[in-house]
Order: sequence, then structure tokens, then C-alpha cells
Amino acid sequence: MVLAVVPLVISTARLGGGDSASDRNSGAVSGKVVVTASDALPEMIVFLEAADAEKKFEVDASQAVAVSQRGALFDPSLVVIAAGQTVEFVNDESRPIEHNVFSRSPAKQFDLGLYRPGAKGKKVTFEKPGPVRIFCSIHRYMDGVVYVCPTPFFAKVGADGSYEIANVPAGNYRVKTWQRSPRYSEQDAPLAVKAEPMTLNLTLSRK
Amino acid sequence: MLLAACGCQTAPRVEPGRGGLRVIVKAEPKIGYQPRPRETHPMDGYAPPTPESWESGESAYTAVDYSGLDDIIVWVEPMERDDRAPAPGPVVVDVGDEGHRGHHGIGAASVGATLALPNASARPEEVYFVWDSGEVTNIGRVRPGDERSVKLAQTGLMSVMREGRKQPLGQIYVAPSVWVKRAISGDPVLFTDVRPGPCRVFCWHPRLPGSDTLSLLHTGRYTDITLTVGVNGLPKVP
Repeated sequence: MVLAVVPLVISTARLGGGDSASDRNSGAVSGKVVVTASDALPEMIVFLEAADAEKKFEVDASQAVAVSQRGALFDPSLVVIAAGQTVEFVNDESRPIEHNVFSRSPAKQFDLGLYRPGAKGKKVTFEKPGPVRIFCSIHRYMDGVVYVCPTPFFAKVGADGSYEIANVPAGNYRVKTWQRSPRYSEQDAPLAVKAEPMTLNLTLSRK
Repeated sequence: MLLAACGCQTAPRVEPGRGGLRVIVKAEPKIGYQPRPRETHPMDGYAPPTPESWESGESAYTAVDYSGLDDIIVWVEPMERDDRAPAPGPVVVDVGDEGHRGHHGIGAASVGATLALPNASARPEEVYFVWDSGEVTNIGRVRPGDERSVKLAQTGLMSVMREGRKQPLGQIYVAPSVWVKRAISGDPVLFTDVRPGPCRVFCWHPRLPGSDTLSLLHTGRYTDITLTVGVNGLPKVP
């Protein structure tokens, strides 16, 4: 994919009411994503990747992110996690409907097998960054995405374009975007995070 | 023998000096799953969704039809260079076609083929492609009565999109071979003009894992191949 580096609007600002970061050496990155066309903003995420590929961050692997399968729909249909985190696929149908969640994506291939409501939820740990498309082998229109970010620093962009990534250790990163239905050039630019809140607005444009 | 194998219809002859391939793709449901017979319960059927059925939530339960799985793409890659390989066939997607209501199947094309994008409607359309890699290709405006042509220069699944619409107008799987066809599970797909000798045969589906196998084609006759699509080969999670 050809990446367009759009000039980023960065400002550092101290938010009212005290520091939002829980660690003295951490900052926060927030801002708005806008598109140049008159279309609605695509469903998308903003995430940080460490500039130093060897740098590792602690991930809370004990807490699984739950995904419902009620109504033969994955909810949330876009799950965003950090590499090393776990997703629990729960069959919470209101009647005895089996599901069989699987993925053949390069980042993670798996088959959870058949299970009905009331059975224990099935857990999958995702180690590799990237999108993992999930499906049910029984239900033709049941699909979703697990997006695995390289670090724990990510945010889903709201319908109004706003996002916030909190508790980011100061350091050098790359800020990136990912759109579920690609239309605009993805962002990929260097970002130096300081131990204070910063505003980063992103403008997406068509290629 | 060929007549008996194929049923009442005669298979086309293999081209002189060429090899033939008869491929059947079997769609295999998850081991242990009992596909429901085609029956009347609206929440467990196979019928394609309508706006009303989506609204009510019934369509979400539409089952995968393993007995007649469509959108399968089959292609053949000879291991040796073939100087008699035919040119890639053209593909057409009418960007002004208003008859679409949703997913309309996936077409098959070869890399290097020309994709024609006529606009038979009265409205201009802004067209772009989205590849399964995430890459976006802007085609631009296609005016009413006009036609754009694009050479398909990469392989993979491509969605033809119109600005402002979430659903693709059409999807095309671009295979790295001129010998590529659409298939429905259980129905044979025939190739009559492939280079004799070793080749690899592939099948692909947009949701279910496909498969591939090596084969050896002989001059003047068909070779039978069976491939599968399904999840049973994926790593299991206990």
C-alpha cells in the first residue's frame, strides 16, 4: 500500500484539572480525525508503534476482551487489542444455536470448534500485530475483525472523529491508522511523546 | 466411460496437444456439524437477505449452504512455461447497474486481463477499487454512456466500489493464471487447454479456507482432481 504522510497538526497543551496520565513519565495523545471529502468517517483506529522495534510494553494478558455472538453477530464487530491480549468468544444466544468461530488470516489462524450457549467461552490469544478477520463457518453473514495493535496504545475513532490514547510512556513512536473499509490513505508518521498531554489532529485524504 | 462419469452431457474435448482437468471442489462443513435441511424456519434458512429480513434480524442466521457453496474460484498453474497459453479474457462490470441489492457473487479473472467499466446508467459514478491487501486504487469518474478500461495488474480479491456506497458493486478474484474459473461445490469445472505436465491446482473462497494440490496432466485426456474448502484443517483451539 502507498502511504501518504500528511502533515500532522501537533500541539502540546496542559488539560485543565490536572494531569490525565497516571505515571509521571507518561503522556496522552488525543485529537480529531477529519476527511477531506464530504463522506462519513470510516470505522477506524489510531495506534502507536514503538520506533524501536525491540521495545516491549507490558500488556494485561489476564483480562480477556469478551465478544458476544448473540443474534449471529459478533459484538463488537471490530475488536481492538494489543499483541499478547486475549479475546473470549462467548456464545450467548437466547436459543440453542451453535457457532463455530474461525480465522484464516495470516496474523492468526484458528478454529474454536462447535459450541452452544451455556458452554464456556472460548479464548484466543493474539500475538502478531495486524488484522484478523473472524467468521462463523455455520452462518453466512457472521463476520468481524480483531485488530491486533503492536502496543497497548490505541483508540477507536469516534463517530465525530475524536480519539484519545492515554498513559503513553514518553518516547519515540510512529502514529498509524487503520480503516476497516479502506478509502483514504493510511497515516504513518513519527511521533515524539512527552510526559504531558498532546493534541494530534489527523487529516485523511484520498490517494 | 467419460459419458458415464459426467452423466448425460458430453464433456468438451480436450484441445489437441493439450491436457484437460476436471476439478470438483467439495465444501466440507465443520466435523460434527449437521447442516440443517432446507426448511421453512425463517431464522435458519439459506435464502439471501432482503432489507426487511435484515431489519428483523432473521437474515443474520442465514446458513452457509455447503451443498451448493458458490463464490469458489479455481485456477491452474502449470509448473513449466507455456508458449500456447491463451490471452487473459476480458471482464466487464457495469458501474451504473442499479439492479444490485447486495452481494452478487465473485467473478474470476486473470492477472493481465482488461476490466471494462461501462456506465449504462444516466448518472456519473466515482469508482475505486479496494484490494484485499487494503490498497485503494482510484479510477475516477465514469460518465453516463462512457466506459473506462483498466488492466488488472495484481492478484487477489478486488472490490469495485462506488463513492458513497458501503457495499461493493462487484468483486473479482484475480488469479495468477489464465486458467481460472468460478465454481460451485460439487459441480465439475473443466479446463481443456492446459499445458500437459505437472501443475498445481488451487481453490479459493472469500470466507472458508481453500486448498491446493499437485497434479500431472496428460495429453489428450482429462485428469480428475478433488479439492476441498472448509475449516477442518485449521489449528484447533481447545
